[in-house]
Amino acid sequence: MQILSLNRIFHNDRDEKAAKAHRVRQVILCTGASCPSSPSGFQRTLLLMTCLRQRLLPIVLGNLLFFISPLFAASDVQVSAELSRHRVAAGEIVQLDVKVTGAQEADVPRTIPVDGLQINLAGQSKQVQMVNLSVSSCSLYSYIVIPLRTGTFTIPAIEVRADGKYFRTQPQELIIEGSSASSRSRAQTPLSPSTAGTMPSSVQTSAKNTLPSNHQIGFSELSLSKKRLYVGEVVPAEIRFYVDARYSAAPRRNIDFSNEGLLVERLSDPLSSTEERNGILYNVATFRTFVSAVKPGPINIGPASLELAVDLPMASPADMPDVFAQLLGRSGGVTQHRSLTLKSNQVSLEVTPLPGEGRPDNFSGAIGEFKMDAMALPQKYSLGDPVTLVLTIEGDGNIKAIGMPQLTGTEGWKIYPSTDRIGEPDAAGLHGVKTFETSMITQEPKTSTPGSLFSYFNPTTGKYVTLTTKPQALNIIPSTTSPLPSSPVATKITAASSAKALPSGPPALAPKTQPLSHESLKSWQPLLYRTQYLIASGVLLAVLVFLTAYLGVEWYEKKTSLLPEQQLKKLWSELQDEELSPQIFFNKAALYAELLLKQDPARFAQLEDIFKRRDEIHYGARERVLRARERAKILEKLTAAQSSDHS
Amino acid sequence: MMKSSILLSLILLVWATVVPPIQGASTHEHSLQSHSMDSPEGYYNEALVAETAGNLPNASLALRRALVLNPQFAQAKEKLHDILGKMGVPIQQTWRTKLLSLCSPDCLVLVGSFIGWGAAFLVLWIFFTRYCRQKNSEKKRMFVLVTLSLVICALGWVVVLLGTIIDPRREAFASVVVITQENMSIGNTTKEPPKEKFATIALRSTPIENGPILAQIPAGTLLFLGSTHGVWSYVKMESGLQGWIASSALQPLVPRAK
Repeated sequence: MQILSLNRIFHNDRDEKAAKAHRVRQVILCTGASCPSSPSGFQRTLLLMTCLRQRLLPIVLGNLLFFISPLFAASDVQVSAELSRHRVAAGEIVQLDVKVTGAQEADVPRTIPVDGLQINLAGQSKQVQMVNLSVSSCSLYSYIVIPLRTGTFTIPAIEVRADGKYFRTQPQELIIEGSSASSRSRAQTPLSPSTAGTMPSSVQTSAKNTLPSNHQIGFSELSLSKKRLYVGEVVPAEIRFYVDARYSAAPRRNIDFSNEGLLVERLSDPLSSTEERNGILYNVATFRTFVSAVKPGPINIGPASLELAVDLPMASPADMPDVFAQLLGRSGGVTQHRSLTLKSNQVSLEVTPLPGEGRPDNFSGAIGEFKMDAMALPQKYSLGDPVTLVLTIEGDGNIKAIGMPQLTGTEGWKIYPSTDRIGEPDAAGLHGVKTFETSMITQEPKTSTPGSLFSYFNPTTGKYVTLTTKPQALNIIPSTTSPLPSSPVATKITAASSAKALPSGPPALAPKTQPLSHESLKSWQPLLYRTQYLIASGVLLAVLVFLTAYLGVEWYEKKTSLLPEQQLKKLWSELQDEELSPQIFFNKAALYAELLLKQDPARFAQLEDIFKRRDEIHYGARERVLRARERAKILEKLTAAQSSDHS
Repeated sequence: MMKSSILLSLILLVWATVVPPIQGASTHEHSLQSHSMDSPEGYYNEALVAETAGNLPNASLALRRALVLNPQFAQAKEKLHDILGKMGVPIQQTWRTKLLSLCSPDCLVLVGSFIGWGAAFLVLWIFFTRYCRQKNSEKKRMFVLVTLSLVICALGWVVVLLGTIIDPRREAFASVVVITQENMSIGNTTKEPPKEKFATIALRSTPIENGPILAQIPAGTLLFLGSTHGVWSYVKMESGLQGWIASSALQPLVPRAK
């Protein structure tokens, strides 16, 4: 696990870029000038074949993906520029990467004109990534920036043509400092790796095959926050491994950090970062842990050691053709593997025993600074139901070693073994929360839970501290179960057998374990499933349906019975209109008469003339003239017929 | 007529609650196999005898039966917690058990039914005798009354549903309790050391004697029975873990008819 994490850290992006910059530098050094330590012709051939075997297969596969990728590539184009370093000494070379993402083709300028800097395109690489059949491509164009003088420079926005459109990168600022001071400081430090990368090109030419010493590639540091501690006190420790960012390194074994007289917790997953020391960029892997002493006296902690395998780049053969050099990379793909062990410093500790004076009886080894809270769940309970007392201890210290606080006032409670859980620690890992849950049952109407006591030793003040929590208030829910009568009803066990069988418990609990002489019969079926309930519900549903039908019909009949009266009223008001034609008047009068006859057919003799007159007009037997006298006579007949109906 | 209908409904519901169920006439699929009526106090007494004899799994089974019949049986509840604690069986408190400690499911169903049916008849009465006979201007007030009655009716049936959901008898017919036996060959029952004299039984992913073990289930654990195939039963734990277990190690929570 740790090895994997370390691999991830020591092969990060910055590392790749640094290694690439190193390779570029070496190619510049080898081209043109003669290499004094170049291998013989046979060695060069072997070297070339090895390089071809190592490099050609990835190149072929890469080109294959390069040509296939346009079929699937996404269309979102992004262009960015990044400098490998923004502040360098005069004579140092900087790499400028222009990254084009999501484009099939891109045109970049070969040179970038900046006064005081020489910026030339050095090479191009392409990365194709396929995730769930979605292919994304990324082209990286690398420029070599050679400072010609000191000062602050701004590399202008680079115009990139990608997929027929123009994009511009952000301007980059580069500070070139005077070389003398930085070179001196690097020469003085024992931790600085190879100076090849920091020297001017003329100096590098002579020193290009000088490999750095182990001490120059990386180093390690161990630090503790305290040097004086108590037995059992937890102290955070930090181990940092530094590896020069220009070299790729992979761990070979786990970290060796065994110490006598100390308890060391499992090392955390490493945190990766970069740090510049004396002008050199380092990849840093930081491991955190906690140590605690088990015995008093002076103790040395450390060193922590880690064995690494480091790839050191070598120069390519001097007479290697430029075509191969471009294909195989600037360094010619030649690296030297070296085993390197990073060993940290030792730290001396002074461990003091815990004072015996003032030690509480309930002290269980908690060291640190804590606070305690209590809570009862639920706060309303029925007799016989469990109540859970939740005690939460929070603070800085050996939180894992804290034991269950002592409960006070537990009379009448049956206490069950408690469970505990530890909450997520904070980023530092020293602050934590431990929760204890204790279930308890009472048969007596208790209005509060037991209290609790917790003692710890405070290393800051050097004194013991006792925390207490008050009993938590409880409310009792009265049970709906009626008190059990003691009538002698037959039970499933006889009195004799129960007398023998009863357990000999404590006197307070003895009455609760007596067999019950009362028996009540309960059904195994839920009420909703019982036949009686279903029958009752069916009957009620039938009654509801019947009532609905009955009331509905009654309401409808009442509503419809009002219609003839309304019709008569309407017809009567229409008949009062003197401008009605004779035909319409007699039609309405006949309709009015029909409605009256529906109510009482015996009035037909009174109304017969109206029907006859209507038919005569309708069939043309008489002229279609309505005189006022005739009109009044017909209305009078209708009124008479209606009044006879009411009478 | 309306008054007589409501009176009839009350009488019928009381009859449905009080009168013992009709033997063999239940619609429930398992009712023919079980006792229709039983005594929780009787099971409590059985549990006392089993506990005295040192048979804690059987005592837990009897207490579980007592609590299914009467979920508010405080003495049985305390005794069951005591015994399960001794056996190392985890006790789970759910919202159902919490609600059961407040009121009985029968009470909820009965009260909900009264409210539901009463409100249904009230809706009928208000609609036909008030709402339909009012003029349009006064119908709005009656509409509010009808709506309110409908809401009360719905609430009543929600209470009935709630009472049925929390009723432990609803799932009791599909529940089994692990009762390990001596000399059990199938399922690879493992005996704990003498200080822990309660056996556990293996829950396996396949119904094979040497199948991969998913969990060791202590005796007295309540399981939900899925199906039984010969000597193996497919069960589900309260935690959701499912697997095969020896059928001979299971006892139904609802006793079968003698």
